[in-house]
This record gives sequence, structure tokens and C-alpha cells, in this order.
Amino acid sequence: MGDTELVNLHSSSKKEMNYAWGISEADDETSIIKPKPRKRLETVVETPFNLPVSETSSTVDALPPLRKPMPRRRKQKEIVLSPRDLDSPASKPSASDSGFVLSPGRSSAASSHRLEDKGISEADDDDSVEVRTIAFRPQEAIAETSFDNPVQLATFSPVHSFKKPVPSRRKQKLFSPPQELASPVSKTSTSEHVLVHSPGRSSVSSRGRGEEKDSGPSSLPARADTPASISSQHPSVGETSLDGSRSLTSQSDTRSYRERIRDRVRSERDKAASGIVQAHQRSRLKQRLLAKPATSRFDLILQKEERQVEEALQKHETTRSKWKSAAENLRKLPSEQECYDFFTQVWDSETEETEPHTPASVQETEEIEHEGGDQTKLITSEYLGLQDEWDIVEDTIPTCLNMEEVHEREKNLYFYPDSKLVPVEAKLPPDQEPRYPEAEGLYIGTQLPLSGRNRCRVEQRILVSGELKWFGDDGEIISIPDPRSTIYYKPLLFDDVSPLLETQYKDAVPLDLDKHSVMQPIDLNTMYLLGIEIQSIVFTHHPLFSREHVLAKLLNDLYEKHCRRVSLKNEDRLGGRLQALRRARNALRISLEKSADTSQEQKERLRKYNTEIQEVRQMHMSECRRDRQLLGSVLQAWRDLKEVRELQQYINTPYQLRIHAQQISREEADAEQEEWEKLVQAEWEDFKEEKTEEFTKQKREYKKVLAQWKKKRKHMKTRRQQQREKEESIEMDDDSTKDEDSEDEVPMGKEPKPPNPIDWSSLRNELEGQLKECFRPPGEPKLFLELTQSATITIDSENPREQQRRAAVKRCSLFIRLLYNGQEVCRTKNQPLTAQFEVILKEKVAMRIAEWPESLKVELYEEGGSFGRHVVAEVFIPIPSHTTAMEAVQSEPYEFSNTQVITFSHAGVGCGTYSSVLPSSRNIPCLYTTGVIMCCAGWATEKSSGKILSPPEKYCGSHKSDCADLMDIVNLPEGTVDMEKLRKWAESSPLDPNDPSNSSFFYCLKNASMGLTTEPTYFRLDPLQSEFDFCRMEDIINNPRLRLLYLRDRGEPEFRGLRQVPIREKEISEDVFKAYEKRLASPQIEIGTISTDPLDIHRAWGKRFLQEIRQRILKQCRQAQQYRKLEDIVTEDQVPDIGTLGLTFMQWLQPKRPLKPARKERKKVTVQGLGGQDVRLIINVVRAFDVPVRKDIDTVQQSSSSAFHQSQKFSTVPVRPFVEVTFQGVSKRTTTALGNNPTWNQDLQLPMRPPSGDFTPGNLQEMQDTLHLHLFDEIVVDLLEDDRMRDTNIHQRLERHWLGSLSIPFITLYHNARIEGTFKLYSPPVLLGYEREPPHRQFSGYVNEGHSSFSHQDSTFLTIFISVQPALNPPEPFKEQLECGEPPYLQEHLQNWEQEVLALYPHRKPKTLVVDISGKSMCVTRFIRAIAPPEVLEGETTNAHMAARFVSMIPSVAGSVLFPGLFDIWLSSDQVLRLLSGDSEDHAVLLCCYLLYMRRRAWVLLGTGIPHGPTAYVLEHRGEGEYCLWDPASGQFFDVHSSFCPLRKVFCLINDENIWANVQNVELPQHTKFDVNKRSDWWPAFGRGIGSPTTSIQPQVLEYNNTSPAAVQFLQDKIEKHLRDSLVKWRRTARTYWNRYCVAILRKLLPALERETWKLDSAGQVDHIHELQHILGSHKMCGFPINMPYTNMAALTESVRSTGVYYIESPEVEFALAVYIHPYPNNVLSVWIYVASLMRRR
Amino acid sequence: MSNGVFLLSLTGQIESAVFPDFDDIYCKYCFTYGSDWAITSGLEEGISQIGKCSRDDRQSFVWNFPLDVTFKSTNPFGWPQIVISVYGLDAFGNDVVRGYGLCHIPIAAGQYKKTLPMFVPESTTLLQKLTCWLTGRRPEYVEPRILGQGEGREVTRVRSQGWVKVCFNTITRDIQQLGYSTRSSSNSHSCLSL
Repeated sequence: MGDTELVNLHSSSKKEMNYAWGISEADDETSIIKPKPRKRLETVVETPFNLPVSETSSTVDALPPLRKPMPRRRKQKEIVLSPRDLDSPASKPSASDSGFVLSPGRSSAASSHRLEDKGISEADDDDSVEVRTIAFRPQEAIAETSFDNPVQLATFSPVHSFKKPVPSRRKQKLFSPPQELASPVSKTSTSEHVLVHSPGRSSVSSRGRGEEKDSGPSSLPARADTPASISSQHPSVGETSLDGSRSLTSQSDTRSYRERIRDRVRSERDKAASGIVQAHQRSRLKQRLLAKPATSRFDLILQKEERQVEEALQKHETTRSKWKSAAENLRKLPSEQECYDFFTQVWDSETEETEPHTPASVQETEEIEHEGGDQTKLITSEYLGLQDEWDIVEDTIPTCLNMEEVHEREKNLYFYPDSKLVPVEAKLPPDQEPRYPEAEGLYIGTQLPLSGRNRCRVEQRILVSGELKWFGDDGEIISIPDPRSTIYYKPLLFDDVSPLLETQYKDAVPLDLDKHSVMQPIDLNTMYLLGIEIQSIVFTHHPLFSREHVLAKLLNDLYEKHCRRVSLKNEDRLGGRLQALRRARNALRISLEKSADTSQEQKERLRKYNTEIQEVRQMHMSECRRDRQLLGSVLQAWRDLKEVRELQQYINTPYQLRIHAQQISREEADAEQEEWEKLVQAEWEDFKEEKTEEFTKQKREYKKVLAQWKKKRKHMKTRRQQQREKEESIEMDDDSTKDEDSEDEVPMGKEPKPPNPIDWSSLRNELEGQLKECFRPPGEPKLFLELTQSATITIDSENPREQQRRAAVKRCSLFIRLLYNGQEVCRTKNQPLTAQFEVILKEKVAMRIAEWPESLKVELYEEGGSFGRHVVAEVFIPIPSHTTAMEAVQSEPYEFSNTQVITFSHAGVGCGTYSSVLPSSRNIPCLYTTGVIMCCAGWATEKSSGKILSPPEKYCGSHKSDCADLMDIVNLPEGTVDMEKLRKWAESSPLDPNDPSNSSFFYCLKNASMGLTTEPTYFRLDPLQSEFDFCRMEDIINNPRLRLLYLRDRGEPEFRGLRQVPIREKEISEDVFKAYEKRLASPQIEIGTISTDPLDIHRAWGKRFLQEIRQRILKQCRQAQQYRKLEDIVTEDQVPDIGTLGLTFMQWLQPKRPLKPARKERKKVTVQGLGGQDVRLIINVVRAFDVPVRKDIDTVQQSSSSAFHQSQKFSTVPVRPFVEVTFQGVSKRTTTALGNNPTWNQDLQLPMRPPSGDFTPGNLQEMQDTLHLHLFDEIVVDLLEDDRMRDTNIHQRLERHWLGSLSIPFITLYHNARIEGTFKLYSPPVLLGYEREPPHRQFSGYVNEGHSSFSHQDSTFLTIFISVQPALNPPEPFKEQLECGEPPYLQEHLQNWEQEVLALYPHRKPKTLVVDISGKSMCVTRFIRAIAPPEVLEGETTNAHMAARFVSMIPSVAGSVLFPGLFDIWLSSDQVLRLLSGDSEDHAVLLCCYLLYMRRRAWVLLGTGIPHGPTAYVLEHRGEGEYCLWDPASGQFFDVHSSFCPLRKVFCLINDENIWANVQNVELPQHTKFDVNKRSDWWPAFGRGIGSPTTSIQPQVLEYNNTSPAAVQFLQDKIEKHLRDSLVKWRRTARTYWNRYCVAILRKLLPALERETWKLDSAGQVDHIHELQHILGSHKMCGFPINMPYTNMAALTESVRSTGVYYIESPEVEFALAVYIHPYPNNVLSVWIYVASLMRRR
Repeated sequence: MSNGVFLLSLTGQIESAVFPDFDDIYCKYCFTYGSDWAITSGLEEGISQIGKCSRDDRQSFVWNFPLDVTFKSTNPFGWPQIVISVYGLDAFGNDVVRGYGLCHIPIAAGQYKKTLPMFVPESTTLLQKLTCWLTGRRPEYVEPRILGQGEGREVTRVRSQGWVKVCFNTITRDIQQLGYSTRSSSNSHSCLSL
């Protein structure tokens, strides 16, 4: 069936796809297309409905659906798309024109094609939906129908109408919505519909007007017979319309939308059934009205209504009149002509009229569509819509055929290709035989696999269409062979080449290692011309040599040798030398004989002469002998040659030796004889001398030996005698015999023979014989030899062998191949070998080199001779040195040889054989081909400039130095020459330095001695290390840049954060190193020089000492710190245990709380990232409590005004406080608030600059800066003196009075990341001019009435929040444990305990093992021991307050400041006192010790406090569950329940016996239970199993030294003076007056203040006011005492300055300043400074 | 005359990556350099878009993520390195690290294409590996820049996976004037001799 569809698709236009679908549905041939629309339908179904409901009805239920349309609409469009593609173009404009309403309409219209089908299957669900679609149907329907093939229309429609009998039943009900539209309620909305529709319609009509008109008439006949069936149904429709909107109100909202619709439809259906008749009548009427052309808008509305009614009617009718009757009508098919007219006929006149109707009609059609396919619907609708106008009925109906008929018709229409096999004959032209190319051997590719059925079908189809051309000769369909390749291959990918194949460019790298590969390509622009001239080749032996040649060669060689020797004249030279030596010796001898005293030196010289003469004599003789022998052998060779020539009877070589014998005359002979005699005599003398010397020597030796021998013999004789005696005397003893035997065994040795006496005569004969051998004896003629080449060569010899040889020689030719760097450059011409075995080539080759020369080789080829072409020899010619110019070079012989073995049958001697070529018995060893090439090589010179065109020197042949030559001469293996030895030898040996032959040697020696280095006298482990040093250390120190880099690398604090060290030395200022050098130099400064004050010295010493400890421990730790752990580098999740897993699951199960704010961690900024940013401290000053209020204590007026004041108290604002924040010299202040409980809630931002801009944790930790917060009272002083001007002028002055302050070290902030809370301000005990509000006025919330006795009463509190923006990286805690002083079991136990505690409460880290000053870790309990406190007051036992006071007066340092990045170090109490500094733990330990001594129960408490973070307090038990806390740093005392206690968290308690960890859930001291015996609250480290270590490291008794009162007095005066000067200095603009009277009073007051802190009962309270009464009467006074431990002067000055006393600008202000130092033992000082400003009252 | 600093300008791209068996991957880059170096312009850190694996055999991720940064320095010590860390979504949609890689910025001017092999730290135990896989929190470097230092690396165990291709175009300025030579020794050698 698929084929059918295909056919249809091709034959009809696109839009007819719909029909194609229709067919497939109708025929129940479910095709591929069918499932699709069904799916879509479901989405579409609701959408069209939503809109209409909202538009048409104002009922409640209309709202909920409204929510949906928007998203739905989108879906619709998606859906629409596919049908639109298929739709005719005519349908498109309608969609675009109709705007928003239409778009659903369109979609519904489009989808409605499928809806029908859907309608059947899902009728129960979606009835109402379909109804709505109908309303929008028309445009679409018309548009589509208009293009329809009439034939198809006619045929299809019946099918559809037939097919859907089931829905038809429901159609009645479906009409209701249109009814609704018609109802008066919804009139307005319906009119809208019309408006909306009409443009769509008009557009359709404008486009396809003709078609529309067609549709009009063609539908007429169809309508003609519907009325009958419709009439019965009309009334029901009318009914529906009336009640339609009501029906749904009863429905509950909970029901689904669809259900509600269904209900509504159902109810309408019921209603419709009752009122069919009325509706019918009405609709009739309307229809009639409709028929008239619309004239006005009102009419249009009317028409609309009419149409709606009509719709209902038609629906009714169509449903009612069963399809049976309809089918009957339809059976009468429109004639073909009609059908044709329907589409083609032009209806001009009627357009006006038809237009209004068409919507209605179209609507109707759509109703019908539900029952059948598109086509049917269309047509019927046309009929129905125009029913009333045309009464022609009979012949139009698309009659319903019965199934058989339909099938029959279909059969006519459709073609079903048969799947039967088509016979071959049918496929071929009638008269043709099938031809199989395969059979003919042609290649046929594999056919595409095609199932047999399909193939047959295709063939059938082709066959039917008659296109036989598709069949090939063999009857098969012509097709290309299967295009698929069976081989897999990877297509080329051009953009991404495999990395393995990628070409990477690499620079050619010349390596210095090997000279052969060093070559850099020659720049082609430079010219290097190498010239080689090959002149000739001369064979010294050749296989084709005849015997004569061999001999001639030999003769030649010998002759040349002879000539050389003759030219050397060795004989004469040596002879002369010998004579000279002899003369010198004789002279010496004579002189020796003459003078009796012969010095050793002279004897030595004589001896030297003798030996030299002997040497020279022998050399002379051997040389001469050789000369004579050579002469003899030349003559011999010549004789041989002559012999051979004679023998062979031809001459091959031109050599001829001429011997000239010089005949001697008689006289000459005599002279010669005489000379000879002389010579012999001289020789003889020398010889004799030699011999006698030798003889005497021998003799001496003999004597020596003889003496020895004799001695030996004698000794033995005596021995023997002794033995014999022994033998005789004693019986034979084994030992002795053995002894004897052993001695006998010793060989006696022969008696040495005396040297033979010299037989002088025989020696003389011998000498003469020797001389004759060496020298020409007298009378022998002198011979002069001359070798000429004058012999004529016999041209044609008879000897056939010789002829053969000569022929071979003639055939032989040679040429040369020149190879440069192993590549052939050229070859010479073939040159024949001459008979003399020479080849003259004389070729000059110039080559321009493109490669660095490596080798130059000459290959000698021989052709034609004995064999074919073969290489005779290869000769490497050295590359000429770069200075060698071609012009200047001499041709040099280069020898070559060949080891080939050749023998000939002819006269050639061959080579490599041992043939005896000589007639004489003498054999010449085996001869090989040898020869000499004469050639020369050099570089060409440029003619213009004379420049030698040679490559750089290093590429040219190595130039052998003379020195190297010498090395060869010396014949020592190179590299092992010991130059020193050589030199020694040269010195000792009488080498003549002037001898030119020695010059190179001396030159070499000289050079060697120059380069000779003295051996170092020290030993180095790593001798080459210095070679790798960048430079010497001195260079680094001298170069500022290098020094800077070096110091930075070493991590010196001054340079640690240095960035961008300048690259040029001059850019580095000299000052850079000053601070560093100063620091380096500082330890050298004696402590005594800092200050003369012993108190200062004590403190300075303590500081220095701690510094040293710090350095030491840092060193200890640095090593340990360098090892990184995995956690430091890699973050990895811990394996979750069941608890955390449970938590995670719990989290999933928990209800989601999207509004619950989640805490977000602030991002920690990395150090590198911080560089450019500015880091700020953000201080939020929230509010203050309990600010003291102004109170003018006027003693004079007090009584009178007190009542007034009392009454005024509530109404006036007695204080205007503000807060000033200072950090690193930058100040910011808040606004001024009013009242004693002010609220600012203000953010202050201060910049933070770390030293040298380095944000690394290490550097930040060393920051010593402190954040100061000061609370001031701002006083507005009215300066306006004239009251009359008050209305117009303001003249005021602001004064500030210090009320309190708070200091927070930056380190604290850095470690805690943020600080928040309510802090107690440091405020003076007395604040003149101010008083605190009485307790009843304070907020009850902040005051615990029961504990009002505690310190909160006289203090002010400030609530602040401080943080750093952006967050800084907190320092890494140091984890490494140092060496432990405790036994291992204890260490392990404590560590385990600590781990367990940490597991429970990770942040509560108890201290178990702490580091003491020696760098060892100790158990903390060892630090606590009852120690007696010092005696503070004479005769008074020190109470707890005094002890606390004493402890608090010891200056404190934050632990982390001391040892940044590390754990802190605990000092023992004596150390604290000695050093006079310590951190909070040290103070706490000390205080605890004192309290223990006072028999109180006390613990050191570790926890977190504000503002300092981790801190230590002392907990004291006061009995009955009463506990109190001591702050050791301030000496203050709190009840644990005090709400303003600065301690915030309690972690652990320590005393001398145990350590307890807080395991309660709470950690606030107010809530914590402090009963350490409760195991559930406090977990002890030591229990039954293991006890705490007993011995304490604290001393039993602390030694207290009284502080020198004189020194204190001195310091006191000094401070006072200094502060006064400072105050004057700060007040630059005004003069400072001092009120001396007041100062005196203040001085008196201060000691009392110190006493007050001791809380002694005996010490009475001093009434400040009383004391100051006099002054207060006359002055307005404002002032306060400041108390602090003495650290140094700067700290005091700063604290006074920060109070801002000097700030008062009033001209008449007076100041008073008093200082008091209370000395505690051990130089602990409490400094009191009283500052006050006074204003005279008027 | 230069003003005592030399400049190193780097432009380029993190072109693509190969991470077999992973998908939805993006990368981050950052530079680590010595204390004498400073970035004068350009982004020091960047994060790319999420890339999906190509559907062909190459299985590559293409980001074409541009790098454009200029350094200035007075000292070649601490020559900048680029550290690329690649992240991706695992089967559960967790963001997990897929690789770390780094290389020095080429010291001489020119065009370079580098293929950086990537690696990730391994879990220390098998159990941890399992939990990591379940929770989607794989071991990661605390700070990818740590890779620029040799110190402390010995404690980690890594597995290599994937490659990232980076192309660098570097331009230097004033390096020669300040007495540093960035050309290879052989090059300079030949320059001298010829």
C-alpha cells in the first residue's frame, strides 16, 4: 500500500497530502503517517478550546483554562508547522492575516484534518474540543478545497462520510458552543469573532476568489437534500444555546478541565434534546435572513448570529439524519462536469453575496468533518452552507457508496503493482533476446540488495508505465552497482593531524661535540672556492713493472738516498765535531796536568768530554759506515740492473748510472795515507783510552768482588772450624747438624776471575778493520755517482712476454675521481699510462663549496690494464688551511699503495708476490702497487681584493703545530708527556738551542713552561664546584642588585616581600641595605649603651633574650616546617563514617527550606592575588554602654545647684560621645552621638599596609601595629560673647575629652579573622569632670544587680565588629612536635587524649605538651606549683589582689607575636620575672602559682576571650560553687556569671595535678559548670591509670629583689619631664601653661590610686573631689589618671597622646601632669600618669 | 634605552583538549611567576566555557580560549608559568577536576604549540577513591599554582589523563638590551661565527 501512497504523492500537489492521509485512513491501510497526527492531536485537543471558552463565556470556569493557552500556543505552532508545509499556499495568508486569534484557529484548522480521525478514537474525551475547532475551520477548509482535484473530492468524501457513523451520534451535542456564541450573552464576543474572521476570509477570497465562488455553487447541490434531515434536529440546537453557559457552574473546581468540558457538553446535549424544534425554527429564520446580503455592521452581527444558529442547526441535522439517508443522497454523485465546474468556473457576480455566507457554510463543513474525512466535510459543508439559496438538490450529492462499490471504483483508480515475478521476455523489446554481459565476460558489480518482492513491484510498475528503457539487455533494471565499500577507511582529516605525524619545526642545531656534525649550512652568498690541481701520478711499483723496472726503481731509490746522504755531509760534520772535542779535551788535560789542584768540576768536565767523544766517535763511525754501505748497494743495484738488461736483451728503463772515479796521484796518496794514519792514531788513542778505562773499571770491580768473596770464604772457614769444634766437643746434635747443613747449602760462589789483560795488538787490528769498513781507506779512488736517464729503451723487443707486458701497459689508462665530503665532484680524463709508469694529468679543478669541508679524497682508477676498471688507490688530501692560497701552494706528493695481489704470465712482475725478480741472490720482499700522486689544494683568491675565499679557520684542516711535530719526534704518546721531565732532560742534555733542528723543541718547551701551573697545595672535596658558581661571593656582595637578590632569597625580613628588583645596579638606592645592616650591627651594641637606667636595661635585656630564643627556635623549626604533607597540597575528602553518612541522608530527608539563609564562607584571597588590592580594616562601631556623663563639680555652687541638677538630669544631654579609630597612623571617627548609651552603627574603613607590601602570612604575623579605639566626649564650647548676635552667628569650638580606649593588636585580628562583641574599654579609675550614671538609671538588662560590686560598674563598654576585607590567609598552625622532655608513654598518652578531645570538640584544643624555653616540650602541669608571691607592702601579707596587680604589671607580649607561625613558648615563673615579659599563659601560670600558695583552689583556664582571642585566665574556687576569674593581664577580677566578662569560651583547665578538657556542650563561662570532679563535664587527662608527672619545672621559691628606689625616682622624673615636653610639642599653636599647684595635688593623689587597687581594708578611699576642692572651685577641671606597666618611654608617650588631652584649643587652658611609679619587686613598675586640663571659671 | 624592565607579551589560545571518556569539560588557567614579575595587562586568570566532546574519532574538546597577557619583569628568575586546570561534570553532575597541567611560557619570541599532558591527584586509598566517586569530591590541589613549584610535590600521587593543546605567541621586548639572551646557545654561537 506504501506504493500507492507514493504514487499519489507524486501525482497530486503537495497540499493533497491531507487527502493522501485521508485515503490511508479510510482504507484502514495504516500507513506510516497515521500515528503521527494522533500523537499531535492530543496536544492540540485542548488548545483550541481554551481560547473560545475564555472569549465566549464569562463563566467562572473559564478562568482556570485561561492560564494554559500561552504555553499551549507554542505547542500549537509546532504542530501547525508540519501541516502548513503541506498546506496549499492559499491557506497561508489567512494565517498571517488573522492575527492572534487566528493562530489557534489556524492550528485547529490544520489539525482538524486529523481531528476527525481523532474524533473517532477519542470521541469520549474530546468532543467539545472538536466543536470549537469548527468555528475556525472555514478559511482552511475553503483554501484546501479550492485546489482539490474534483475527482478525488468526489471519490473521497463518500468514503469518509461512510466511515464515521459512530461520531455522528455525538454531533448533536457538539453543536452547543456555536449555539452559545449565538446567544445574547456572548454577543460582543461573537462579533469579535466575525471581525477576526473576516480579514482571514477576505484574504482568502482575494487570493482564491475564483475558487471560492466555485465552492459556492458546487456545494449547492450537496445541500439540496440535507434540509430534510436537518429539519428534525433544529429545535435541539436552540435549546442548547440558551442554557449552555449555565451548565458548568455546578461543577466543582477540583475536577479536571477536561472533565468539566465533558460535563458541560453532556448537559448541553441533554438540553438540546428537549428543545430541538424551537431551535430549528429559529435557525430557519436566521438562515433566510442570512441569505440577504449584509448591508451594515449590525447586519453583519446579525448575520453572525444567524450563522451560528445555522451551524447548530446543521450540526443537528447532520447528526440526526442518520447516515443511511445521507448516504443515499450522496450516492448520487455530482457529474464530472459539475465537479469540474466546482473548481474551474468563475463566478463573478455572486462574490458579494456569497462572501457573508461562506463562514457559516464553512463552519458547517467543519462540523461534518468530524464525521468523515476532510474531503467529505468540505463538500458537504459547501452544500449545507448554501442550502437555502439553491434548491437544486438531486444531482449534487457526493453520494455514499456502499463498500463494494467503493472498492470497485478504487480498483479502477488504483494501481496495485503486482509482486509477481516479471518474465524476462516482458522486460525486453519484443524481438530481443536477453543478453548477459556476465556470460560475455564483462564485469558486473554487485547489485544493490533488494528484496525480491520489491524488485518485482518496481519492475511491474515500470512495465505498466511502459518505460522499457529502464531494463538492460539482460532484463534487469539498470542500476549502478552497490556503491558501498566493503573496506573501512578513515577519511582524511585536514585540520587535526595526529600529533605523531605533526611536523614540528626545529632549528638545526650544530653540536660542538663532533666536528663532522657541527656544520652550519653555508651561506650561499659567500663564496668559498677550493682549488685542486692534480699534476701527475707516478707509480713506484705497478703490477706491469718488468723486472728491470723494479730494479731501476730500486736503483733510483738508493741513488736518491745516497744523494741525500752525500748532501748532508754527515761525515765531515761529525768529524769536525770530534776533532773540536778532542782539542778541547786535550787542552783541558794539559791544564789539569799543569795545575796540581784539580777541582772536581774540571775532572767532571774531562770525564764528560771523554764520554762525548766516545759517543761522537761511534756516531761518526756508524754514519760513515752507512754511507759506504749505501754506496755499495747502489753499485750493487746498478750491477743487477745491468745484469738484467743483459739477460733480457732489451732495455725498459732509461736509467744509467755513471760512476766517476777520482784517480789519486802519488802525493795525494801519501797525504791520504798520512791522514789515514793520523785518523787511525787518533781513533786508536781514544779507543785505547776507552779500553783502559774500561779495564780499570773492571779491575776495580773485580777487586771489590774478590774482597767480598774472600771475606765470605774466611767467614765460612771459621764457621766450619767452629762447627767442627762443636762436633768434637758435643755429641752429634740434630740441630747443630742441621745448622751445619744449612750453612753448607749456601753456595760458596766461584772465585771471581780477574779481567783479562788487554791484548792491545788484536784490538788495534780490530779497530783498523772497523775503520776500513767505515772510511775510505787510503788509496781507494773516490767515487761520484750520477744517475742519468740516457739509456735508450729498446722499442720492440723480441720477447713475446715482454711484448705482452708492453701491450698491457699501453692499454692501461688511469683517471681520477675527486670526492669532496664523500661526494664525487669531478673526474679527470682518462690518461694513458706511460711506459715509465707515469700519468700526467695536469688538471685543475675549482669547486665552490656548499658544505664545510670534511674530506677531500682522490680515487685513482685504472682501466684496461690487467682488469677492467678498478680502484687502484684512494688518497685523502688534507684540506688546505684557510690561509693557503691556490697560487702559493706547492704541489706535494701523496703516496698511495694497494694491497692487491696480481700475477701475470707475461713479463710483468705483478704485485703482492714474493717472486725473486733479481738475478742476484738478493731477494726483494714482496712488492705492492705503490705510487705517488702529485697534487696540490688551496683556496682561490678573489682577484680584486686578494681575499682568500676560504671558510673560517675552524672548518679547515687542522694545522699541525710544530709542537705536535716534536711530540712525534720525541715519540711519546701524546697527553702523557711530562713537560717537566722533558724540560729537565733538555736542561741536562747538551742540546744546542741554536741548532735550527732543535728550535721547535725549545719552542715547545718554552710554551709548556709558560702554561705550567703550580700544583695547589690544598685538597678539595669538590674541585669543580667553583666552576659552576655564578660568581664569587664578593661579587655578589659588591653588586647591589645581586646582593639584594641574594638577601631576598635568604629570606631576610627586610627584603622578603621585595618585588621587581631593578635590573640595573644604579637604580638601587644605597639606603636599601641600611636597615638590614643596622639590624645586623645591633647585637653588637652593648646593652648598657642603650640606656643608663638600670630599669630600662633590665627590660632591654629581656627583649633581647627573647629575640635570641626566637631565632634559635625558629631555626629548630624551619627544618621541620619544610616537609609538606599531602593535606597541604591536595584536598581530599575524609572517608565518611556512619555518623556523617547518616547526617547526609538526614539532610536529604529534611524538608527543604529555600528561604533559610545559608552561611557562605568568605573567600580567602591568595597571597599573590592580594598584591594589587588594598586591604582594609572594616570597623563597625555599634554602640557604647555606660558612657560617663559630664558633671561639673563646682564645689562652691554644688549645694545651691545640686537640686537644680538633680531635676535637670533627665532632660539634658550630658555627654556627646564619639569613637575615633586609629590604625597605622590613620584615624577615622564616627559621628557624634548623644547620651550615655549612644548608638552609632557606623562603618569605618581604614587602609591596611603591611610592611614592604608583602601579604604573606609570615610577614603579616610580624606586624606589630595596634588598632586603637578611643571614646571621646565632644564638647561644644560656645564662644559667642555677644548675646545679641546669637540669632545670626554661631561661634563654637569643639573640644574632646578622652573617656576610654581599647587597643586590639592586629595580630589578634589576623588570627581571628574577625572580632565582634562588647568590649570593656580601658577607662581611668577617676575621670574628673565626669561621673557615671547611678545604677538605677542604667538599663537593667546589662547590670546584674547582685554582682554590682564587680568591676563592671566603673567601666564603659563598646560594641564593635571588626573584620578585614578581603579576608587574609590565616597562618598555618605549626604541627610538628619538637623533642619531648617527657617519657614516651606519657607523651603518647597525652597526645592520644588530646586527639580524643579534639575529635569531640575540634576547636577546643587543650594544651598538654608545651614548649619551654629550651625548645623541649613539657607537660603543662609541670608549670604549676605553689610559689610565694613577693611582699608588696611592707609588713602586709600579699593578698590575691596584690598578687594579681603584681602579675599584671609585668609587661605582656602576645604569644604569637613572639613566635609567629609557631606554637607559643611557656616560660617558667622565674623566667617571666627575669625577662619581664610574657604572654597571657605565662601571666596566668604565675598568678595561679601565687593563688595556690595562698591556699586557694585555682586553675589556669585556657579559652578564648575578647578582644585577644586565645587567652589564659585563672579560675579560682571561692567555695560553695562560687567561682571567679582573674584576668592576669589586667589584674581584674570577674565573677563567672558576669555578663561583661571578656572570657567567652572555656576550653580547658590546668593545675598542678591534672588537665581537664571541657566536654560540656556550653563553653560560655556563665553557663559552664566548673566542678572538675564531674567526669561528664570535665574530662581529665590523668586518671587512675596514669598520673601526672610530679616534678615541677618551677623553682620552689622565687627570688625577689627589691627595686632600687633611687632608680625609680630617676625614671619617674625622667618620664614626667619627657611627657611635659611632649605635650608642649604637640600643642604647637598655643602656649602651654602648667598649673603647678594642681600638679602637686595630683602627685599626692596618685599613690593612693595604686593602693586602691590592692583592695586592702586598711587603705581608706581617697576622696578625689575633696583633695581637689580648691582647684575645682576656681577651675573647671577635666582629667584622668592612666595606669600601665612600664615598658618603655615610647609606649607611655603614645598612650598620653592618644587621649587627646592636648587637643584643647582654648587660650586660657592650663595643664597639670603628674607621674608616679610604684615599684614592685624585681623591677616591676606600675606607672601612673595623671593628666588634667583646667579652665578658669569666670 | 629601556626603562629597566623587559616585557613579555603572550597571546595565544587554549585550543583544545583530549580527554577520552569525559564530557562537559571546561578549563581554568592561571599564571604563577616570581616576585620580580608583574602583569601589566591582561587577565591573570580565566575560566572557559564548557565544552562537549566532538562526535568524531578525535574526541577532542575545543575551547579556543584566548590568552592575552603581558608581563613585565626585571629578572628572568621566576619565569611565568601557565597552570591549566581542567574541570568537568561527572556522571552525577558534580564538578570534578579532570586534570592539571602546566608549562613555562616560551622564553623566546615566536609561535609555539604545546601539548600539555594533564594529571590529577589520586586518592590515597581505595576506600577513599570509592567515596570520592560517590560524593563527587575528588582530590584536588589546594592551589593549582603549587604546581609551579617543585617543593612538596613528592607527597602526591597523580594519574595522567588527557592532553591540552595550547598555542602561544610570545613577543619579548628589551630582553636583549638588558643583557639576557633568549635564543638558544647554538644559535647565538653560529651568529657569532658567521
